[in-house]
Amino acid sequence: MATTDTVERVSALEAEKYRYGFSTDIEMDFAPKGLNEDIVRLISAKKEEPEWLLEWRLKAFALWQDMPEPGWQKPDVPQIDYQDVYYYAAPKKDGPKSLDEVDPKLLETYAKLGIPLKEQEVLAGVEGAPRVAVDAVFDSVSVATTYRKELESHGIVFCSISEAVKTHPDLVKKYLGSVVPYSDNKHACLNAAVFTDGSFVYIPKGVKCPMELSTYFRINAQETGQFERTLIIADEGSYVSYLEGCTAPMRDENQLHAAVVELITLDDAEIKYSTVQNWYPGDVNGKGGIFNFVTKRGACRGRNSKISWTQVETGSAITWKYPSCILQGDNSVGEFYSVAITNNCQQADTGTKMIHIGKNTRSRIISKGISAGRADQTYRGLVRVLPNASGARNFTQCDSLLIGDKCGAHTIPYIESRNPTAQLEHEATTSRISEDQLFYCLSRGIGEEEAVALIVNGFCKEVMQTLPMEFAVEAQKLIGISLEGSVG
Amino acid sequence: MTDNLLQDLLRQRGDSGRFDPKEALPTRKAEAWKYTDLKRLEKFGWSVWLAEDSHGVTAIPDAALKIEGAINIVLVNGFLDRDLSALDHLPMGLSLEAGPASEAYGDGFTDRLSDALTQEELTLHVDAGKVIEAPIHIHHITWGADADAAIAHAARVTITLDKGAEATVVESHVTASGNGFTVPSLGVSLGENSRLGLYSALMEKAGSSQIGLADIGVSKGAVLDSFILSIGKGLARREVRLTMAGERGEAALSGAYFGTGDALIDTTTFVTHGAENATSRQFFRGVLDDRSRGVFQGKVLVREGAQGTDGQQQHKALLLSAQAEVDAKPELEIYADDVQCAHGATVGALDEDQLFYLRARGIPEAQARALLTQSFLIEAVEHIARPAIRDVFRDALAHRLEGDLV
Repeated sequence: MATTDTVERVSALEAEKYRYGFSTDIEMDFAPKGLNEDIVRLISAKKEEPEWLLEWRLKAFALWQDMPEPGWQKPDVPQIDYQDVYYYAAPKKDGPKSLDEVDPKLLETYAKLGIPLKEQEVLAGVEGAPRVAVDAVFDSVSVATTYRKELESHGIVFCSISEAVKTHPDLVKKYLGSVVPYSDNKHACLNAAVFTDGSFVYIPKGVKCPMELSTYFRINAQETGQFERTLIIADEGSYVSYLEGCTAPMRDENQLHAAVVELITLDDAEIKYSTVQNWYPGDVNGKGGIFNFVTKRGACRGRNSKISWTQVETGSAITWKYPSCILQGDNSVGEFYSVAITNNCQQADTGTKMIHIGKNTRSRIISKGISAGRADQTYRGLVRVLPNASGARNFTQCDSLLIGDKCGAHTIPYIESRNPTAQLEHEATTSRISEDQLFYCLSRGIGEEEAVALIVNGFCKEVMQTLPMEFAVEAQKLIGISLEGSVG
Repeated sequence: MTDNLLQDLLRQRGDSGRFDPKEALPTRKAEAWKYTDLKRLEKFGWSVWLAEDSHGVTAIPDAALKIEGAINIVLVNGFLDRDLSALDHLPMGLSLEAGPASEAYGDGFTDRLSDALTQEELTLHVDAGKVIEAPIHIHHITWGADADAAIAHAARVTITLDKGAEATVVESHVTASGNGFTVPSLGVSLGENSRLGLYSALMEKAGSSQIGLADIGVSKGAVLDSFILSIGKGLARREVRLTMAGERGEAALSGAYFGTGDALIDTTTFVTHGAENATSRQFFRGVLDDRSRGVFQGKVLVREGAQGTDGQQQHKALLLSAQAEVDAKPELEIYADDVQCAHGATVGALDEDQLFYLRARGIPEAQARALLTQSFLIEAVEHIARPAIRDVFRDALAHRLEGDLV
């Protein structure tokens, strides 16, 4: 099996490196910085892609060059130098040699999250650590392979997108770009041209995926790429819950992340997609930090199908994404649950789009934004009911909490109805932490920071409840940590 | 007819104002005009009404609102008509003058259009501490020589209340004959602790288009009560910019609209809280029938330092027909933490249960629908603080609904 081979090969490499005791990585393939048609061709060739995919990439690249940078967003996005980025297998930078060289602040955070030492090394990108990472995180490689075997027994396909192009070309060809076309927006277009990694999931008819799928378990993917492309297809009557990200802050050299996620549900199928995003947000003055520009969209193609997005966004210098649902099938359901926390100089512009096309389609949007320090955040959402969507129903609630007088919180919903039987409700509030609640906690001997974390967690409860259990516990801790230094 | 309507108007006016030589009317690509398509303006070849033109209005048209005891001021095609206006015996402390338009407004399209087209400005001033009991009713009348006439005009009214003054102003818009493309602008300044009731009624006929602008400043302790009744049959866009510039100012900005035929009713509000402890309340209701379209874009901006702000906004709309459409964009932009801000927006149909209840009591369906629609809209009208005006507006709304729904 390919996976086992890889693991063996990698372990061998590790052993060898150890024997000689030097730490220069040898990368077999890498391309120079910068982006041009040759790079796109190189990526496609290295991935041994079929002709149609190369053409698709080239079309995307050609369009991308003419596309202007979007300018409607609230965050102040610095000029991005696209030529200063590695698009294929960047040569390794020198990471910290041991945990002693890692930013103590980061380690403090790990300690608070209760992350084991070995795992901390992985997350901090300590040299030598990553290859054995998966074992450390999940006890042993066998765990991952066992999972994989079990999945295969159900006929579930869970692999990297590059692998899927080879093993399931028909599925990929049919669905890739069918929800997010390459012409969708500048960042999605770039992704289409240069994507190198990401997950592919196919759940066959009538199968309920027996476990939560996570990028974690896909052992080839311990390094999440900059231009990930994820495609999840839930065939008739199937169900899958997919987890993305990690609660621990990830050290990452790449500043620009432009991922694309496409979800497709056929009749009676359901996809639950949960994200915890905690990329490096930059220092307290906003220096450094990741730009997280992601296009996520799901299409409820079948009757009675459902797509549910849950996101906890605490990291990144700039988060800019709108996980959306296109409700095509009659009686289909779209959900969006979001907690976004911005502190210090972070900026977030996030929300969702719910496009009601089929009859009796329902959508529910719960967004909780917390802004502290000098951060700025925006909820931007669209609920659109088309003329045929009789009986459509939407409920939207957006609450923002402000901590401190230097931060901002904004709400920009678009509500468009073209069907008289549709019922849409939107409500939004903005306020600060109630003095009474804070006083109550303080008078019971709870410290101020702890009290804020407690109150904020209560404020976000509706969203946190939708997270898978183990994720939820960590995410709760994360909220407290993200808000450190925001009071007093 | 030309291919650039805007440039054609500017040429007639003999002044390109603050427009680029090639600039055209905004399209739906512009965020502020995302939901309001101005293409329908191209159906007519508009003639800009000039000072030397003479009209044939001899009395206030029947279609106009009748407010008992009001001081009637009449503007025909953007110019003050001294014969039709009650300019003699104005109460003490109130002054009214017409003169050349002076002030330049903001940089928005409507601002610049109003600047470019306005020829005369009506200035209304209330002295400090004076209370003007009688409502001042400003009639905006569009008159064309015949039914096909297409007249473009822009009137500007400036209202200033000095410290502690009080007044009630109604401004209404009707079409006497022909079709109008009107760009009325309203500059309002409320001095410290002054009180103003400001009520607008947009009742122009089908074929008419209005792009109006109100710029209102509320000083310390001042109280504004305002309402927009938009029941015209053409395009009616009203942009309201309200600035809470002083501590403890209070403003109510409400409205009701009803669209039939291919009416397009656009209410665009922008409330800025720039001072501490000020309150703003917005309460809008709309009903859309036939192929009509309703647009509500409401923004509340709380600037840094505007602590203690209380800003609330609500917009509810009903769709009565399968071809009707409503688009809402309520927006909050907040840079202060000690605030209470909220907005709510709903879109739906008449409540089937309520309809069933009425029908079960022998009320025919059409009437039951009319009754429910009316009560839905009247909830907004009830927000008008001046009882006399509230009654007039309620009747005008009922009359409009009767003509259409029953």
